Amino acid sequence: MALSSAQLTALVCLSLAVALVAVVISTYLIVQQLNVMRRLKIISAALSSKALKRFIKSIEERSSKKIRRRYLVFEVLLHGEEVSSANTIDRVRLEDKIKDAFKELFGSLELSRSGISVVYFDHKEMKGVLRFKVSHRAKVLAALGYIKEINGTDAMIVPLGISGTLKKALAKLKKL
Amino acid sequence: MRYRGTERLEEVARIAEKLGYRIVGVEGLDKVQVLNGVTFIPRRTSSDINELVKTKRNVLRTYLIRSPEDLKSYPRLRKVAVIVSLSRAAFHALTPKYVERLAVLDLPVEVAIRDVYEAVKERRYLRGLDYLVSLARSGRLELIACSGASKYIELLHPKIIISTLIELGLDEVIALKAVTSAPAKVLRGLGYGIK
Repeated sequence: MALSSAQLTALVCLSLAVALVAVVISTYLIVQQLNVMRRLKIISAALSSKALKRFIKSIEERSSKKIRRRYLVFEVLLHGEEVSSANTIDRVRLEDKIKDAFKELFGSLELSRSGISVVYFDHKEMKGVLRFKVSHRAKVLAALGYIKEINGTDAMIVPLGISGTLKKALAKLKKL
Repeated sequence: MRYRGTERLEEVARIAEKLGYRIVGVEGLDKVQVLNGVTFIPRRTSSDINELVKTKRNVLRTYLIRSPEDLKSYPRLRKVAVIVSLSRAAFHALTPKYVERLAVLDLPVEVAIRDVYEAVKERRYLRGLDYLVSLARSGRLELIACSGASKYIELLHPKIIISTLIELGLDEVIALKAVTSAPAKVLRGLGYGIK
């Protein structure tokens, strides 16, 4: 069956219109997808932003009534032959040293908020347990690196592990 | 590690193993050595490009920047050095323009945490470091953090380095990268098989 010229024109117009609609819809969908991707990027950037992390942390701190602490198991290493002077390092002196380093790096206010305390120190093994508030974890670790000498001897404090309870920290200490 | 090679390697290996290091770059070492499970690789640090050209391909070639003028020959520098390290004087003299030049260089920039501690001790304004950190955060500059130790007792635990970088304003992921994947990428480029 042959089509008349008018019918042919109408058919072409119709197919053109359909193609145009398809192009418009696909363009719209692509743009939408790009928008979604952009939004996702913004959301992921916002989620990883430091400000938001701090905000979440502050909410967590405010909402939890209990002060969350961590117990860091550490070892004190002294330089070379000067190890014989190890016995002179006691718990109080070591705590003062750590507190001094923390204070110099982050100030008195942060120090008083950090709750730093050497709860256990074995001066023979040169190993101990340091208690601090969970929110000050990075600060405490940075302060440990700042310590270069103890009692005039070149020394370093090596973090061996962190646990949530003193019992577990002491168990870890005995295992090492 | 920026170890100058003044102490016995066995002592360094003992401490490095305790701290969890797998590879240590040592100045003045001729060949690769493995002690206590720690691999010691030769490292050459110099602010003279011609000197770096002469060193072997598997040596950790580090270009030491002493002043902004040292960055003028950067097209050649990219072919010769694998890391750019900042001397203490350069570290204190960092300006936005200086840091931009470092970013254009497209080489990982090594920051010694001991230098940061020294600057804090001397109560210096760490403005330049802020520029470095902001560029690293935006992904335009790759940071490599090291202890900056000149004797083994000055080595820092990786956790301490990461924590210090976090306190300086870096995100946890970037801080972790500066100690793990960024140095590993450089070593892989030198032909060392690192997983």
